Amino acid sequence: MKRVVPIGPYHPLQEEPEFFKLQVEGEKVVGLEINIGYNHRGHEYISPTLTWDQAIFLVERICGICSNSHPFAYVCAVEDLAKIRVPERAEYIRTIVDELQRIHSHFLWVGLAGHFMGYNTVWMWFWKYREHLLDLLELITGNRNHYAMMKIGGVRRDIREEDIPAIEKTLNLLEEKTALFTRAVLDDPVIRARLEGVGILTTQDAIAYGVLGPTARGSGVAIDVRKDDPIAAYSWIPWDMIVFDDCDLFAKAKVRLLECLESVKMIRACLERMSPGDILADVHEIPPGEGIGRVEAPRGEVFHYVRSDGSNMPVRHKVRAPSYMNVASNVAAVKGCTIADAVLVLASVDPCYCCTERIMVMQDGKQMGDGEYLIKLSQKTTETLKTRYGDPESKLRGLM
Amino acid sequence: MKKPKLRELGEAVRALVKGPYTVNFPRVPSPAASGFRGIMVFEEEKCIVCGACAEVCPAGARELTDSLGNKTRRITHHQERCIYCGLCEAHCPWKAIHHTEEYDLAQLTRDNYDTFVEKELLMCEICGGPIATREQLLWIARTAGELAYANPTLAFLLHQDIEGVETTLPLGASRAYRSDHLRLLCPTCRREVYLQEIWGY
Repeated sequence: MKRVVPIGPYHPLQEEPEFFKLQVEGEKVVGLEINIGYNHRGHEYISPTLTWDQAIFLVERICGICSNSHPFAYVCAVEDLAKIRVPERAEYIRTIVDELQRIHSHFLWVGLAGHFMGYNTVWMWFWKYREHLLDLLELITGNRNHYAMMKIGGVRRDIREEDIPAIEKTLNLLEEKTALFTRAVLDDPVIRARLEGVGILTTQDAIAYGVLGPTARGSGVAIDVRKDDPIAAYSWIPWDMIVFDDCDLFAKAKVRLLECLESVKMIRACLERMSPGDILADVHEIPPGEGIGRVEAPRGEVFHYVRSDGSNMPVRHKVRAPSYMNVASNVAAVKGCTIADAVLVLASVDPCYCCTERIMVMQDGKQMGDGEYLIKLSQKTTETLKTRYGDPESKLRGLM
Repeated sequence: MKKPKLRELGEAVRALVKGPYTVNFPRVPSPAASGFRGIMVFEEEKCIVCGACAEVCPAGARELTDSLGNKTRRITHHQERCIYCGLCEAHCPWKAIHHTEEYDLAQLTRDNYDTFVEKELLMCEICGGPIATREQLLWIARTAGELAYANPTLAFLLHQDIEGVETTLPLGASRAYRSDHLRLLCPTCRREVYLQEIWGY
């Protein structure tokens, strides 16, 4: 007999609102219904009310963890639009900050995965050394989490020559500890027992759901924006894409852990090749037109689209975060697991709901999902925001 | 299977010898890295209350308010709304606002977060509306060099500042008249005065 076990809307583990309905037969999960949309914040509407330079700080706050990837994708989109050439040193600095952020995000995930398994030692280890990483980001960018580094045409801060020994020192420590913990985690019988063969997302399913990032690479799909469509310094430095075709949770953990080591290698290569020079191109005006930016965030590809009418604000700004694709794949991955494993499977895609949220409405326990209703609701939200932020509709009307 | 346990043992022994990894904050200070984007502070003597920071702030943490009764203009920084992006620091023409390396933000009431700079506001001699702060107009006059003499408001201010000359004339007719162009005027009244002189209305 089928029964439904609800997880959420306030998740017992991850501090984000999402709602999973696990359909179970005894201990076994036979189906999953996903409801997201508790966290709609109207970023795409607020963005056209800010200037090109101000919008960077808004998109930075789409996600607290990939807080470099979103501005990075946004500035890439604007540079694509305005055909701006970014100085070489700025490209290297962008790569360094992006890779540091990737290590910090993967450490966070591995730590949390340990915590979800009840293996708090792993959690403490990884978060202990993640602290060194945050200190390093603070030294380079001036902030621990919202780096405010990206600027249209370059970066806001240079990496000071006198900071390089400190960076090298932290990198050495990180490399040593990551290697140690990677081996410790991968050899641990408890972790292997919990992760191996659990939450299988086959390669066909991965392609069918269009998953991105480590989720795809753990299922044998070799996609990575850094290789496929290289931006910044990714095509200038040597690095390997980590792909495993075991398709289980263990493969995803391996991808993330080994990517950390790969990132340390990339940062070293960037520091070596970096030569003194400008960090900011001359940007005067953003011409009318449209542009896209694709960046490999720790969770997968972040996509930004901007359209300009030649004024000092974007008229349309569209964001697609990787979790939007990845979360849906849980339906395939979670089938056949036990309830205890399901929690881990749902967390395995490293979901980030605040990046992802579009909108969904529940009324009397029923989903009000039809398109027309959503459009009406969207118009209502727009009205509310309009009273708060003023009216950019006149600008939009000219383009529609 | 034994080897991984040994490796973990090394880490455990190190933790045992070194004690807790955390810092006993706030008893032991934990300074931020140099260049940290911390609490913002104004330098009152440098600030000219031009409002450039209020223009660029993406979070609306700056507020420009005029007090017509006291003839002052005030720029308020709402610390609790600040997102520490550093745009105002980058755009301030006088480098009068900057990040400190302080990060202890706890306050008991919300009012304690506000810091402000207040400067004298010059009023239009005809309509009594605000023009700009004295220091901002002087800055414009000095930056413009000899071009400042194209605008009597700026020229008078410059002379007042250099020579201490009192230029205020008694008000003549109730309407704007040609002699009024030698006064401190807001842009609207200045246009009115010149149109009066050229076309007589």
